[in-house]
Amino acid sequence: MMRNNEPQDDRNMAPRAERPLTDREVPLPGMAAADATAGTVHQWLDGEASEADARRADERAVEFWNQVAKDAQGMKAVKAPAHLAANIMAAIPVREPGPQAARAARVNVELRPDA
Amino acid sequence: MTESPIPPNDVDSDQDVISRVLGGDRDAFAVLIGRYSDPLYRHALGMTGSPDVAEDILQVSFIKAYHHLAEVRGRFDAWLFRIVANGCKDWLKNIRRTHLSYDEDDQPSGYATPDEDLDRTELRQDLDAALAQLAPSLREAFILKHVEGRSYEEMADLLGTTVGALKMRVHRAREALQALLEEKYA
Repeated sequence: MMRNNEPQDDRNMAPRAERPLTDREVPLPGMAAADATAGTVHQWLDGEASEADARRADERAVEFWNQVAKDAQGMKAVKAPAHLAANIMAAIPVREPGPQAARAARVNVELRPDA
Repeated sequence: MTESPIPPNDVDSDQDVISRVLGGDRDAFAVLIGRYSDPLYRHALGMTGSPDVAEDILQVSFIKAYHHLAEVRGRFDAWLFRIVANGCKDWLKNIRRTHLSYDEDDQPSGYATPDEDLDRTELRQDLDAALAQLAPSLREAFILKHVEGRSYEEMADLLGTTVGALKMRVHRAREALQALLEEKYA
């Protein structure tokens, strides 16, 4: 990868094996298999594959996501604080339900004979 | 919304309630708050990690919704969700701008439950911390999918994007979370 405009000299580069993986332009052996494994787990998490299939692909990942699901379950039980609704109702004006009602209110005023 | 399927014959539809509010029945707005505050609070809490901030965002969002109720076109719940989601994103932008850290005042202090006494496990805290490290768009997608349990189609409706884009975000979020948490969960 060209990091600047200076000429690149292979002698200044780290040996290939030590270069970061991101600098490699050729897929590593086994990468396609890893993608397929991850793909099966994603499919299971998306409801498109069975847990058995996912376990065959990556047992450890399935255990991991089952644990995450248990923790996420706690989040699903969370409810808004009880006082929230009262606070919101106290904060909204007594008579201002939006432009439509505001227009209606103006019409009402104009229609009153004594207005 | 997922949690509040409203049988059409049992209760007023959102549009009916909105008509009542616009007609001057201010108290009818409480119906909409009751209908949507829990799932929206969970979303705001997941996005911000702070019960206080989540509460503030919801309060501001519902007040904003009240003032603009006559402008609702289409689904009220999706419209309201976008107000809350934008509130969360604005807060996240501001907190980055002011260099506040999640490790400081806005650290998740424990999610509010009806009894305010949820015993949070260490792993839950790890999950919260890992979620906080995700980019907002990935966090949002992960929370909608795995905390709120929504389908990709519903997420696409709410966020105004495609199922494919959302799948990509969720997959990237999973990969990031797995990298962050795998050792702790092992």
